[in-house]
Amino acid sequence: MGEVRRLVIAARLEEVRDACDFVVEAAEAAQLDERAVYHCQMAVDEALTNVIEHGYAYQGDGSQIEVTCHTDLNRFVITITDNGPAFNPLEHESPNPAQELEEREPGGWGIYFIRKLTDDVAYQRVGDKNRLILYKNLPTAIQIGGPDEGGEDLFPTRMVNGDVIIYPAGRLDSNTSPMLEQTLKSQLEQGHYWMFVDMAAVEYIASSGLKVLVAIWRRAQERGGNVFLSGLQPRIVEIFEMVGFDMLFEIFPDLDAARAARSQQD
Amino acid sequence: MDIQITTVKGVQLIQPIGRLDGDSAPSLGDAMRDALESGNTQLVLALDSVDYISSAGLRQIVNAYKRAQKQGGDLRLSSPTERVMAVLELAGLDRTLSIFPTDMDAIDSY
Repeated sequence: MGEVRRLVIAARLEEVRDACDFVVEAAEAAQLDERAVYHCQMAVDEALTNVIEHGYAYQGDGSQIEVTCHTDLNRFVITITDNGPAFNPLEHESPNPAQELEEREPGGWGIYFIRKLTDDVAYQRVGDKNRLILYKNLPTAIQIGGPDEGGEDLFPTRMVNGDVIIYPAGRLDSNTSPMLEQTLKSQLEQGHYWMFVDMAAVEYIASSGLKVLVAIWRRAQERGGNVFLSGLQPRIVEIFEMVGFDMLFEIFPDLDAARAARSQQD
Repeated sequence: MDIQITTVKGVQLIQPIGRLDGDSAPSLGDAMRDALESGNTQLVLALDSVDYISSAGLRQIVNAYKRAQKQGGDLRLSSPTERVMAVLELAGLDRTLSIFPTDMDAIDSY
């Protein structure tokens, strides 16, 4: 995880511009291209305007909103935290741009834009705070897998009852971890949040491989899914134990055991 | 925000300058409502000096458009930058509102 930048603004519309400038600077530092930087700026503008207009209505001054930016593996992440009443904007239906103007509801466009302009959005209620997290993919995320056409270098996968099984093989080091990442990410993007990674054919795992597994595990969890690992060779187990990942992941002796555990959870 | 209003060939040309966001959009909304209340309901909103527009800006445009239509007039847009045009398209407004490449095209369309 990269450096975290943090800004606190008063919950007033006049302050939104400062937050936009702050996000632009952070997005540029994260090497997003000009278009993506612009998208981030707009998404943050919409999100903050929403919070100020809805969350803090009639509350007057004194309320603050925190905006942080950091990069997480291959995404630029913007987190907006406010202590207004619980409000999950993602629960509200988005307007339909194909609809006639006369039939349109006046509101809802902010969140529609946020969804369109970012690669992912999540909402959490943390204690007495609302947290909206905006994700924008970093440009390298698309290029991962080498100079040849992306999408070809993936580990084999298989779908079983809506769950996906992934079969990485060989060494998971800084050369091959991007391939693992690409494989897992494409599954997440297809809405497959339950993943079984069968590690039986993995001979070695470096920190880059561990990093990928954790990042994907976290994203799957955010979506109500999980990543189950199975068939780890003894020396891989050793590495997992060394870094404490054996506490983090559900690890099973083999794929069948992992599948059985999943079906018991349903 | 700075808003210039001029009358050209009997059409009210409204030119906001700067960012159209949640902070500034209401003042554009007020300016367009005032313009409509003058009785001249043929409006052109010139967007060439708007470098940024958020949904708050779109909301004011849609409101003014509806009000103008109700009064037998119209609100037409001119000269949006590429970015602003992209936002108009995102919201599907390019299919409802008349958008012209230059201010004069928009004025002459009346």
